[in-house]
Amino acid sequence: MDNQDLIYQLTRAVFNRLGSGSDPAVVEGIVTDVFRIVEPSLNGSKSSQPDQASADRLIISVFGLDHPGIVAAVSSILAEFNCSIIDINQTVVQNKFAMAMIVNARNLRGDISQLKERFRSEGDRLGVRIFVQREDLFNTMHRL
Amino acid sequence: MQFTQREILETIRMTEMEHLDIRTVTMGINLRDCADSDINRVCEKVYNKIIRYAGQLVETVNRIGVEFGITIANKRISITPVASVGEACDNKDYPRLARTIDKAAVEVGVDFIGGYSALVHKGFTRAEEIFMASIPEALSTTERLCSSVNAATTRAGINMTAIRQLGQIIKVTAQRTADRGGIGCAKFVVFANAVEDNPFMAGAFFGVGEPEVVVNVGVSGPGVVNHAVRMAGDCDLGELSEIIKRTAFKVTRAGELVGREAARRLGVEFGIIDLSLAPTPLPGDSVGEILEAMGLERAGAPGSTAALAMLTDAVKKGGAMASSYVGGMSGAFIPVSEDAAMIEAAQVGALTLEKLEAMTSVCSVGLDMVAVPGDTSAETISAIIADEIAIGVVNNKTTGVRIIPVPGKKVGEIVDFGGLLGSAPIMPVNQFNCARFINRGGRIPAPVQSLRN
Repeated sequence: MDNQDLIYQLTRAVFNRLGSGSDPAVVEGIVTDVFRIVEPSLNGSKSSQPDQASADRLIISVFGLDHPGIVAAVSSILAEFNCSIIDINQTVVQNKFAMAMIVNARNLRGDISQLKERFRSEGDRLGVRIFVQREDLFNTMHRL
Repeated sequence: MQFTQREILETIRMTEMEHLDIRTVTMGINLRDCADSDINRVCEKVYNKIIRYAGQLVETVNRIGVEFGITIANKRISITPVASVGEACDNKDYPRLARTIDKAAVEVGVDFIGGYSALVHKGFTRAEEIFMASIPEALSTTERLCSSVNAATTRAGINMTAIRQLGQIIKVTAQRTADRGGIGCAKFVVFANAVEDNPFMAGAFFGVGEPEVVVNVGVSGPGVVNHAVRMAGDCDLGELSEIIKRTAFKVTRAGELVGREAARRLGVEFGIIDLSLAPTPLPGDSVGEILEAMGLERAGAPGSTAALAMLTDAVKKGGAMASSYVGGMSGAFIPVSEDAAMIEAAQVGALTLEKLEAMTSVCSVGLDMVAVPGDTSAETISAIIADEIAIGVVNNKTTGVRIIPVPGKKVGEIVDFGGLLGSAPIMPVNQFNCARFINRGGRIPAPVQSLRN
């Protein structure tokens, strides 16, 4: 969310400098280049305050037998609850589906227990198990 | 992805399958400012203060549990030793205070409230004498109240007069709760070197050196350690110790995270994390099973003391690396009735009272949730307590005794307390007489280990 704000401000600054007749593709290229340069230092400054950012993120883990529609179903529930996906890792080994998602829940619509209940019932329907846990639990247990 | 699938799976396995839970979030509340000469005023102040501080405890902690996906099994309160709170009253009606505290615990929805306690290791005040006599009535007329008495410290020696009296108190408490297997005694602990910030029951109280209000956390993880030991296969004991240490580290980190979050949301100070391995009667959530996974046929077999010593030490080392605020008991609990493998071991005769006593010299608590025949004499109970307390005093550690002389039950029978208290087989007690020794009373002087300045 912070990054989206920054990109928006960068885009406005470039537009202001180049004028309204500038080529959108050029503006996008400049903004992308600038963002790539500053991104590492953004991550550095984030690490000085890891707790709040991490407390806002959830790890959604999904395990079960593979069939079409699992990712779509999970994603649409996340959209319904206004959570944005930050990262996804998904594999299928011998027909067993495993997925871990990191999502930003800072602007979660409703309550986390509602989200969990929704995933529980959807998991039953899909024949998979879906776990929802705050990311800082994983940080605390596996990172120093 | 910043976490590997193995790390994510490990966390889910621990929380979902291996009973990694936060055993208790315990709010410690100072009640010293509730003292008054009028017992009615004391009751009113105590009740209001508990409601004011702990009113949101259960809801807040449950919510945190949902967010982290970790079970927080118990929400509890520890309070200033009640013997001191009621000391200034003209009418020292302690049982009434007990019922008020119990009512407050029911009102805020906590599982237990601990601190119906007195610290009498060097002797009694006049109020404490009245308080001691009130314990059976208090425990038999309340549901959630837990009581403890500190009868010895390494610095003060052992108050044998108190221990003599405690044998009788335990017998009377058992009689008064005979219809429920003597459950009153399951909520009462005698300590040596009691700790002020213990979050676990039945021995929790909020010490006089503590601040106004804190949140202390007790983590549990026998199931997680059990799994790690089983997965380790036939490695040597040095390697096994390393594996346990790493596991304890992760468990402690998770516990501290939850504790700090609870403290932050409740707007109170975070106290300590107690990283004791506390079993429950659930299969797999057992300290006895860890000993079996290490290679003993049953808990209590020869080698059990050494295995437990290594386990306790590894847990402490892992926990100490993980958190700067480790406190409470921190080690391994071996309550017989609350641990499936210990129950079985006692039933088949692998675990005797004497072996259990030896094991307590290297773990964190003592003779815990031990059921003995109902006809065991008060003197024998006092003597069993004295033995256990002596281990704590001489070894400069906390030990406790929670013993239940189950009315009407004989060796080999089972008493079922239900819930976390579990069920216990009645264990045989040495039949030789010790009454003359116990009836001497007095104070066993502090051991030479106390001269440390």
